[in-house]
Amino acid sequence: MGTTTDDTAWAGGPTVASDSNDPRQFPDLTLTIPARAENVAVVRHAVGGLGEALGLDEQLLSDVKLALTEACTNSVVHAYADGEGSVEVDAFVGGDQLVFVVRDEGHGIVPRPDSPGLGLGLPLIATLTDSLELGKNADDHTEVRMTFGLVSADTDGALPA
Amino acid sequence: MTGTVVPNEVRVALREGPLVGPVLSRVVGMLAARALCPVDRLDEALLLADAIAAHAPGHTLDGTLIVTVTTDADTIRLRVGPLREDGAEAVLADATLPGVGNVLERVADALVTERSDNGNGEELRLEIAFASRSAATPG
Repeated sequence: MGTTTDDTAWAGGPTVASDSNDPRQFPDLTLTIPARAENVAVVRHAVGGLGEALGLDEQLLSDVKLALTEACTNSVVHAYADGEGSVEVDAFVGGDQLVFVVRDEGHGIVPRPDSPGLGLGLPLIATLTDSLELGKNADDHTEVRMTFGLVSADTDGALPA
Repeated sequence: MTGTVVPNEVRVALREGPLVGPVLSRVVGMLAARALCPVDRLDEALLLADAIAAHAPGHTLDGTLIVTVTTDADTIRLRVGPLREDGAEAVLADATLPGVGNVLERVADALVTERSDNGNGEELRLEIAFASRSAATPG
């Protein structure tokens, strides 16, 4: 597992290269949602549709949904403390990987003593994913990049044409 | 279920391919349900989503279908585009079924084709109106 979840990587964050490990340069799916709790469920449902289309293994789909829920919830809770903003979710499908990028325009991933959460979100994502990268993209947006090995229940790993 | 419906807007961009139908219908269905859309109209919103997924991908500017779904207490709006030149009319034409007529025109309460806001291509705008349960049910 190639995680970068150590505390020192958070503040200021490493820059996530736009082409790092992406099966494709352009996403197959991009969802842009207002950063509100109810919209995390919209992301989960959309990913359910993706899983249906790709014939994803049920366990893998559960892991993807849980990891995305945690990442999007982090954006909703932490990114825009003083106002509204948006969260963008990209999905890249290709090769034997499924890559999701959750992006917001918040302050970056920094330790927060007054955090309302238990601090388990990122470690949980790291456990569920094959690799996890945290940082900022070229536009200075906070990014959580999650990679899953692709196992298809219907096609034995092969992607649909 | 009761409660206040908060206006919502979700933008979904899908590369032409197998994801379009399943993802778009789920996003539209979820947002309609959140807006407390009655089930008959929710079903029709899904019909619109399926028709768009079936016919719009061939008329986009660059192979990516972009749909912006907006909901409030009494309306679901779908903005499809940017589409290529004459793409909006082409989507409408493709959605005509023998013996049924035009699915988009029959289901949507309002349907407009127009230039995109940035002048790049066309957009198809559809609207489904409803009286949400929170508004219709006292208390």
